[in-house]
Amino acid sequence: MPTATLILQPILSPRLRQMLPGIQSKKVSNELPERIEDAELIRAAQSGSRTAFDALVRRYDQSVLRLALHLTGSEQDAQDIYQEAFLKAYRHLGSFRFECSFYTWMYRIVTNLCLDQMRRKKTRREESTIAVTAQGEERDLLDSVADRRAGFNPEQELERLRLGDRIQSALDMLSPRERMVFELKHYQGLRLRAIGEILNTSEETAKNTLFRATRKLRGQLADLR
Amino acid sequence: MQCDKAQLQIIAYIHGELDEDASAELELHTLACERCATELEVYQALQRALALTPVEEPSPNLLAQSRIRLDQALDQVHSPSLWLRLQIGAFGLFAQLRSAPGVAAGLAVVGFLLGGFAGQVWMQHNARTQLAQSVQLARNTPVARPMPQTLAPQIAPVQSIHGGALENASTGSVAADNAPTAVPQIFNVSRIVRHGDTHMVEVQYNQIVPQTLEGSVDDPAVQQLLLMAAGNGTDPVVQDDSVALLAQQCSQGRYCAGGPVRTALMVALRYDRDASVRAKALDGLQPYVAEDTRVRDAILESLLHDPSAQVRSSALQMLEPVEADSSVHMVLETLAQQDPNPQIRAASAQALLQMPPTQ
Ligand SMILES: [Zn+2]
Repeated sequence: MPTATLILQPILSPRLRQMLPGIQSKKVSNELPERIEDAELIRAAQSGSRTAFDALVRRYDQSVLRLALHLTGSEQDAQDIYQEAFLKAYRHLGSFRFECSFYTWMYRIVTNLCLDQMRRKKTRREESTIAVTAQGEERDLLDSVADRRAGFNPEQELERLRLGDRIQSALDMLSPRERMVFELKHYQGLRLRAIGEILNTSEETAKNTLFRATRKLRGQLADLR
Repeated sequence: MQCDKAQLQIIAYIHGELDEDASAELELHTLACERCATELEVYQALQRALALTPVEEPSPNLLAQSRIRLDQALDQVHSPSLWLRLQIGAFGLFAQLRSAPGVAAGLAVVGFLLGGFAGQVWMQHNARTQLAQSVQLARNTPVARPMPQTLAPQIAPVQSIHGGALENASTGSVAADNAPTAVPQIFNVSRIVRHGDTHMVEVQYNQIVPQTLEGSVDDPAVQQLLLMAAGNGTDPVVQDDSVALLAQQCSQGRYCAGGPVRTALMVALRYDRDASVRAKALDGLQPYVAEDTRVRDAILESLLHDPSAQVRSSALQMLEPVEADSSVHMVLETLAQQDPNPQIRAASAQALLQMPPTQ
């Protein structure tokens, strides 16, 4: 049998990656009109149209906010990142040359801002002398369960919240970069090649980071079966 | 397959980053090897656990708040300044030109400044006549056709309307072509100065002067203009012509090595709304499929996305001489199953059969 190794992983663009089997694939050939519309909006925005820029924002802002929110876990931080990212995009749109998709370009800005924020947060956490583990925290979990809709099992929900806490603290143990790669792969469903493109690194490096992150999580969460 | 290799591949496998052949091989191995099967099971359990806490969409409230805040901040940011517009040059300038404020619009600013209806009429009438005269003058002056020094359409030096009298602020004459179309256009108004309490006002504005350049397609200056035109989304005919010319040169193996022409063709292949332009771009890229992975990437993308069956089908033919890497395999598999056109599905399946197995 021929040896198909990971090193030979293909060189594909983010959009192409999303189309391939194994990932939820949209219908073939829906993408070009979308990209042409993008291109037109970008050109109009580059020549000064605020309306066109607003339309671009509306196209991408929900996924930007979702990413920032999930990475930072704070609505305030997510909103700040959202704000800064689109202001940056507005100021630098003139330098966009259509050599990558707008999606990739926008995500480059957003992931950079998120990485900065995660690094700052990590430093603050490490400086703080009182370590509070997620498990040791006094939280009235049942309280947050009580006001949910009737007819479901509070014990199961409690279990889910505990599990959520454990996963969260395991994710917090990753380095910002590992966290980012894992986020883009596992939670946002991007292909490694796209992740490399967004993070300005090779697919190979992104892959190694993903492997490291996954192994660490496995170590932390090994007992979850 | 050996265990250490299988162990390496398990993580790629659970993340959906292993191609079909390798996945099948790994699955086969785990059927026979208990150690690797256990390892796989551990990672699959991890994925299941993680799936219990999916990413949630931001609340509509948060999204709305963020949008309002951004909107307010954008209002404070100055609209792109002149230098930025100049910088955009190649891509944005033509679009700018089309919507460039005409003479009347420029002078409306003056009228507004003067505040009086009478003043506005006076200014408009006066200046407009004089501008027209100046244009006339420029047109009638025999000027040697200047070769552009920089390839952005030339912006003439700042001119002023001084108290209604038009002066050419530069010492040289306005370079203009003799062709009847060569009417200088106002690019923008850059400064307005009021003279005390009088009705006199000085308006500085920039003009764009159309120029013509004649030369061989090999001429770097011509090349640069063609490149600019290929990326210019405002005039489809001009764009079509330039892409065709560039593609023709590329397919003959000329002037394509440096990258910018190749990049322009890839941009056309990805973004042009006209299928015939995309097909031409494809032709021009032909010689580079094998050596340039960016080109191959663009062609694979077009195979999956291009709405024109014609373009997809030419793209498919271009892949034939390419040594099959796993990406080509994956795309062909997708096409064979999903392409809306039955002929393309069949041709992809055929091509898959003929390709040597993945290296
Ligand atoms: Zn094994």
